[in-house]
Amino acid sequence: MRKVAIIGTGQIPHRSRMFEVNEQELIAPSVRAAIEDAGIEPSDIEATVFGSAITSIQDGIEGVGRLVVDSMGGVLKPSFRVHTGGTVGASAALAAVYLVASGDFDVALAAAGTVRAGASGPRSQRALQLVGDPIYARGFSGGAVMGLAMNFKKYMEKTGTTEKHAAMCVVDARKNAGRNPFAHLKDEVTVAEVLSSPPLAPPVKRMDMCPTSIGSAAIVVASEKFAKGKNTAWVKGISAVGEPNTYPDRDVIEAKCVREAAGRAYSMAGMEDPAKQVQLVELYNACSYQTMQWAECLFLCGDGEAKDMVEKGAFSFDGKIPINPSGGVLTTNNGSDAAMLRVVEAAVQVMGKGGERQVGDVKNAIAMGWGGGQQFACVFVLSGDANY
Amino acid sequence: MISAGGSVNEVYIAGAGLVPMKEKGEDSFADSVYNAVTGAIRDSGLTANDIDTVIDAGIDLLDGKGISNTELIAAAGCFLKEEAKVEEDGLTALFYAEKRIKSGKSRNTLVFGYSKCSCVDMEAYSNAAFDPTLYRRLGFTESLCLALQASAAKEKLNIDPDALLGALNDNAGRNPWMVKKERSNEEIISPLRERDLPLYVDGAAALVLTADRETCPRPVRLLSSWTATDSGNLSLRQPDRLASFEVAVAKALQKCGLRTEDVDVWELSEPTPYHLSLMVAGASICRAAELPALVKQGRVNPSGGACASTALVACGLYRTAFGAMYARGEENPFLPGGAKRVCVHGYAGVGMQTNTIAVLEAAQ
Repeated sequence: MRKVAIIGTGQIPHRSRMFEVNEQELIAPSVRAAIEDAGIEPSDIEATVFGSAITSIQDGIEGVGRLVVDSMGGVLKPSFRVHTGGTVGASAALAAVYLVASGDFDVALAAAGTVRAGASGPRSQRALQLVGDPIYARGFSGGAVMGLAMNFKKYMEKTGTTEKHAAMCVVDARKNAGRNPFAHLKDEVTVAEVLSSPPLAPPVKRMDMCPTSIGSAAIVVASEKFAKGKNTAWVKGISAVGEPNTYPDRDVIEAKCVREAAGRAYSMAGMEDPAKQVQLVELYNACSYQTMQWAECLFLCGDGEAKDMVEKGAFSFDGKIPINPSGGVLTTNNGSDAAMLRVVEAAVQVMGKGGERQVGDVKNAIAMGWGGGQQFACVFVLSGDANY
Repeated sequence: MISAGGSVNEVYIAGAGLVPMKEKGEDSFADSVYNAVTGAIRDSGLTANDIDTVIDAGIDLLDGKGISNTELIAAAGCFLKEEAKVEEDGLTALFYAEKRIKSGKSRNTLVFGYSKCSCVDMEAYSNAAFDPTLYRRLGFTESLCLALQASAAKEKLNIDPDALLGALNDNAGRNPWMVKKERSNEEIISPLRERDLPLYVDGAAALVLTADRETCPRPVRLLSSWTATDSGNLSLRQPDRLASFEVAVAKALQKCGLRTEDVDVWELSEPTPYHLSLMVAGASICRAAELPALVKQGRVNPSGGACASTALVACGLYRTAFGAMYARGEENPFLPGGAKRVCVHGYAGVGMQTNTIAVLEAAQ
């Protein structure tokens, strides 16, 4: 594949409500920030991709990508919307990468965001219930929290992990978010506070879950020729894998789609041992325990070993493999831009632009999105090294 | 299956699968998609295991389902394959699939699109495409936008809608995939009568694209594809011009070094006869007055076009499958002679906001 680099990123501070903006106004500041960060002009953008998750079914807006095309500078250019559930922000970034990698474009922009409701608000949960088949599944579909509760319980049984381990991940996430000016939940919490927060669907408690955040993000990708001389994060490996949401013997804890996507992205990047070769991971942890589940599925440690890594602080800000120094999805979840923020934050770290949240010299980073009916996974391997 | 190898210059349509469009189909989404997908894979000479990437086109609000690809990828055999969903016309999904193959990452890509318009209040659905604060409350719908554009087209061009509809419906009558329905002259919204407006139907279409010409028995070269989107603000668009269509045609032809006169057959997705006239005039395919004759000759929409049967989302893929039939020289009742080069089109959004073009050529 042709070499493709991320040359600019943008995001806005996320918060619970943003009544003062419409869809176009939500997206525009992130797009502007990404273009400025890339040091290019809006006219340099040759194609745009918009990512939004369940906007049409949740907010009743059809074709929201076409509604925001002006805000993205995409008028009379190739512009389309992708929609892969929670993965969508990463899928949109991935589409921009493919457009440039095709050789037909030098610069493409991807943006994502939803204005009316975040990922875990009541409206979103009602919309997520509509994911199920209307005859066979919808009647007992419980939205994201119910599904995650079952997985959390199964994960604990399978690995010996406890609710306390998951609470430690929340504590880390909140601490990290305090260093990120764009994060939503920044108040530090204790393990005891997480464990005593109100139950939603046992074992999931309120503080185990991500918030409902309003915000947006954008990313500019460019060809090797265009990226020359710029501060870049090179896209060394990519994969976005889907599996059916139900099939015999499906083990959602094993999460085949995540393992497969990770394996393909690592193989493409020539990476044999990610635990030794990456300095940072941004992963999609909508629920606390997923920090550990995904660490295992991304082969950062063996199955069942993530709890020990958490106890040792290996995934903390100063740890061996910092996970989500941005605070991650546990502190900021717009649903639409959450997976793009993983790519944005990984790129920011590789480019050394993280400010207070910069974890040091990041040569290689992994970004991961997850979603759909727990069936889509998207993995990026980013690098500061253009020689690959 | 998945390659990290070098870039690809030539992309082929290896196979196509269609289900007959129906005004009210009995099949579920999954059944329709399964039938179209298995038809396309069988036609391609490949097996489901050879497919490395699946790109689907669907629209949640139209489906009444959140993240509607969650269940339909099973019907498409997408087990641990690269996957994405595009919420546009299926031809835009094909545009994306083509870029993925050209990147060298994918080799064999399945593209499918589907809808069941019979289950949807299309006016309410299209009203939801407008800004909820400003335009939506004014009652804007697809029919209203089409009527505004049709009025402007009527003023600008010499259009005989009855002659054009007569020619299109004659062609549609020979097409076994289309719905056959007599529609009335009742004026719905001036200047559009019931028979001028799209007949929204149920349908599903699938195509297999490949980088490996040798593996497929009857390849059709996908010379180029391009897509363009007009402003999301209606007041910034000229009602008598489909600017994004013109850009898409010009760029698609430019990418493969062709001119409009090099194209033998145009398969265009027209919501109304007025829009077909705007398209051909704007892209300098012919003058509006010449259009009925070209339709009769089979140079424009030998399939009968989209107005007679609009399977929203799948529409552009139906046109592409028809185009592939012509380029292969397949026996079909609606274009007996075949064609060397075919230009196919799909659109999405109110008032044809997004337009996508693909140029096909009979493989040497």
